[in-house]
Amino acid sequence: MVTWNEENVVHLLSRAGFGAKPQEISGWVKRGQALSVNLLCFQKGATSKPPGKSNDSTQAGLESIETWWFKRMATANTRRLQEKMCLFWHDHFASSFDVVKNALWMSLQNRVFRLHGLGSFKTLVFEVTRDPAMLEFLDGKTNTKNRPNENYGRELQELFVLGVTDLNGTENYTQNDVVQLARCLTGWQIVSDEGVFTPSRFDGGNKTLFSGKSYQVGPANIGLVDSSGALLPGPQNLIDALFGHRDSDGERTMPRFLAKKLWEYFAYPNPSKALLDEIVVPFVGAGNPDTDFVISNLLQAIFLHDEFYSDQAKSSTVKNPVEYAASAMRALRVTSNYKPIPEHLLAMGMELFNPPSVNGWNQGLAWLSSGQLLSRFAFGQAIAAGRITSTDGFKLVPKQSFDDSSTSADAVVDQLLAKLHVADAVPPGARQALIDYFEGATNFKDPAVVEKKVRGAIALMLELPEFQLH
Amino acid sequence: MSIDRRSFLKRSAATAAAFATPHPLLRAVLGSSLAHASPPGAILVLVQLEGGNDGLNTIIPVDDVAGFPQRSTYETKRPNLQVALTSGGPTSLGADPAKGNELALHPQLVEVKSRFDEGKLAVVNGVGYSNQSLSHFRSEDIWFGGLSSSQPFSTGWFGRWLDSEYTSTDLVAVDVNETLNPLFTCTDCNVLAVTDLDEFALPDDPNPLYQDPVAKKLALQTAYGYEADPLETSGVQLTIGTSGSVLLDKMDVYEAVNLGPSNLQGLTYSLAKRLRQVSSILRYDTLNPGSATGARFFHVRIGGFDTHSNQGTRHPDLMDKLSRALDAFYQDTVDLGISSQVLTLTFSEFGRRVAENGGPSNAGTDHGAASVLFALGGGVQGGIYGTLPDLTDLDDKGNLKFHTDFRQVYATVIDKWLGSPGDHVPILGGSFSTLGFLT
Repeated sequence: MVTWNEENVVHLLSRAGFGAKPQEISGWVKRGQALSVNLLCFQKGATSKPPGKSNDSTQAGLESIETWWFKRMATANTRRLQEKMCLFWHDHFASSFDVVKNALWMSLQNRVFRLHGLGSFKTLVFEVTRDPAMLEFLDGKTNTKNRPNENYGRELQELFVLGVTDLNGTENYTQNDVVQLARCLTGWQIVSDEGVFTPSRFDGGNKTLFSGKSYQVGPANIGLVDSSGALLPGPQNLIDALFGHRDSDGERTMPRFLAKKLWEYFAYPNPSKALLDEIVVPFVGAGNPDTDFVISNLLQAIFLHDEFYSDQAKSSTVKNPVEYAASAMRALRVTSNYKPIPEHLLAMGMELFNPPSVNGWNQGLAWLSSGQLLSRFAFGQAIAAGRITSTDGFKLVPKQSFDDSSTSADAVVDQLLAKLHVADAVPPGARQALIDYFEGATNFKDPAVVEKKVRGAIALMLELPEFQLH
Repeated sequence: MSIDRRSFLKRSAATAAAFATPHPLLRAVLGSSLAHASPPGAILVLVQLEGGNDGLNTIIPVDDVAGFPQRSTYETKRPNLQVALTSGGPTSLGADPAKGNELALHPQLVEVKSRFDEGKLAVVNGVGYSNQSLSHFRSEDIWFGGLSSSQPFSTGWFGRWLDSEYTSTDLVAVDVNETLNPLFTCTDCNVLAVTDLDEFALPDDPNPLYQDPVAKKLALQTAYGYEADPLETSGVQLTIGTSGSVLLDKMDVYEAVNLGPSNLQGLTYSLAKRLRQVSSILRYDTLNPGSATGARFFHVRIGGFDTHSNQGTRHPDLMDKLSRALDAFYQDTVDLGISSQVLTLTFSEFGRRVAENGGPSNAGTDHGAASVLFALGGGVQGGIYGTLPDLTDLDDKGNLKFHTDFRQVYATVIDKWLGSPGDHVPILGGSFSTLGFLT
């Protein structure tokens, strides 16, 4: 456990959420670490879903579900980690609107992440596999006994559950496993906006996974559901087979793979094996796919670990565009109808519901390529200049973020930097450049100074390297 | 001697004859300035076909010859996806250099076929690498990284070239892309990544009463100056500070570049628009040598090649788009009088499996191995390079066997286009024999 202070609360709320609102910080400090982490991690699955319409492949349809979801993230409170995990799963189990062409299916997939994203990983994998958007995106719906299609089976191993190689660089599976997995996944179709299993399309022959390994499964009729639609019991069950895979250290592959990805998402890259093996313990439990492998347990282990609060984990990771935009709006108490959001997210490189490929988005410094960095500047400028809310726009009230009875630009700059949680990180020369920007102004009750210089300084601060990081 | 002068001198004798007559549309605009235009040295444009281009439906066997039943095998394996071709047809390339079968380009590649006939297009068969990865991401890492398939990705092959030839204050590469392609990943280089130069500018307050552009720009540049100082910041902050600082400096130079007339003008799809950005920069630099951006290396990409299903409709459309855009861009370079200075190279992370999947209504192909690529430009030695791999002698996954390592292509570009013989060795971590499509 660490000292539970403002710095650590701000860090937790930035990573496990979308940034701390100024007025909520003291409440979370009072709550203490254990209770705060528990409250964030253990939320019941929510059934809310974006308002996507059936067969809607229009830009307007995409934008409506995007604004719904962004608003939910930007205003989230006790369910903020649940929403953050929706975003994580959306990147992990990627499907794109441009290929799926159906706003309802993208909404249903989003609901899967909200309903199952903190619970049993086996349930989540099953629901994603039969999800219409995924069946469409990775050709699951055309994968049949007579004409198998390897697309989903490959990504299930490569991207979703095992990874190409284990922590030692040893390959986890062979092309033959891809072929066998495709056979296990045959038989699914989309009927009335649902993933439906049709036994006649299913390859009911014997398959062998991980042939020759100690954790080989089969030859057996491996699949997901029986002809009545009930989950097949393991070891016949495909997901149980994947969860039983062992790496070149003899450890369970899936927990290490998932733990690494989550640690890198929430803390920093390249965690040690020792750390990963620590945090997976409550996740693995007794190793029963039907009762263990609960995602909340892994998340709690991460947020209770001292290493999560290390210097390395703080101000080291580039915020993704959603985090950048939402944290700026939360810190500065910006209100909006969220209509401008889709255009900004697209320009910043994170059009929700449209990851660039099944590999999700490229994270980290890749977010800050020249054009995308400038797009962040444009967003920062848009909210800093936000003076309306009823029409398409943002509203920022500068007085809510600084004390207008201040008599020096130094004081105002320091207050604003503190609101944005970057005061300690910005180098002195940069801070001085911000002060010099005020060109000697001292009357902060003068609306002209506020509208021009204070708003201008806010825009500048949102452009600094420090605010791109958390 | 700087790289510009070295490569320019090497080619100046050969290129005098390669100058073509400017397109009438541009002649009036260029007028006498063309006589004084100084082409900016060896220029490279990398065109990425994202998803795995089906090489077998790009350069296609037309017939069987004794010992090599390429066409009949092709038809058996691809009952639905086979492309109908007649001997000596409009896109016929001539005989396979080793096996002798007639080869043809996909029927939609009409424009690049004309360039082939002029000797400006080289088609390279059988390109790949050993221990083929069938994962998009791993195979892309291999192509971007320019190392062997057993080595993890760390820097991009072109990033290493930039590191070896340029400093941390140079900006000579432009990725017309939302996010910087890993082939540019480097230690100390700068690459501009924008999809549209019009958007390469600082935003300002929309309310004219409160616009403060001069003071804001000064504050931002000053602040980033400190953020880029290793005495002031470190780690990721320093990295962002440094690249942001270079960006702010170069912004003024690029502000002067605008779209201008182009043969790409009528084409509205992404590849064409992105090549037009490249063309605009080249045009600006050619006409304004005194204030040029100095950009010489470019990357663009076209997606959609991962044709697991419905390849019959999707692939021909991609071939058409590729052909029109590549050729219109080439025409722009001809009109500017710099066609012999510009090399355009296509590449893709892998080809596709010989046997199709699916049925008549949705046939497609899964990930494959060896594929093809094009080299287009006034300085190219056109022709067919490398044999079409034997369709009856596939690898254990049913894929075409490669015979030309992709690093041979990179070595050819590095040694013969960008630098001198042997330059490729430290960049690619090994010695590779070069191909003849450049001299």
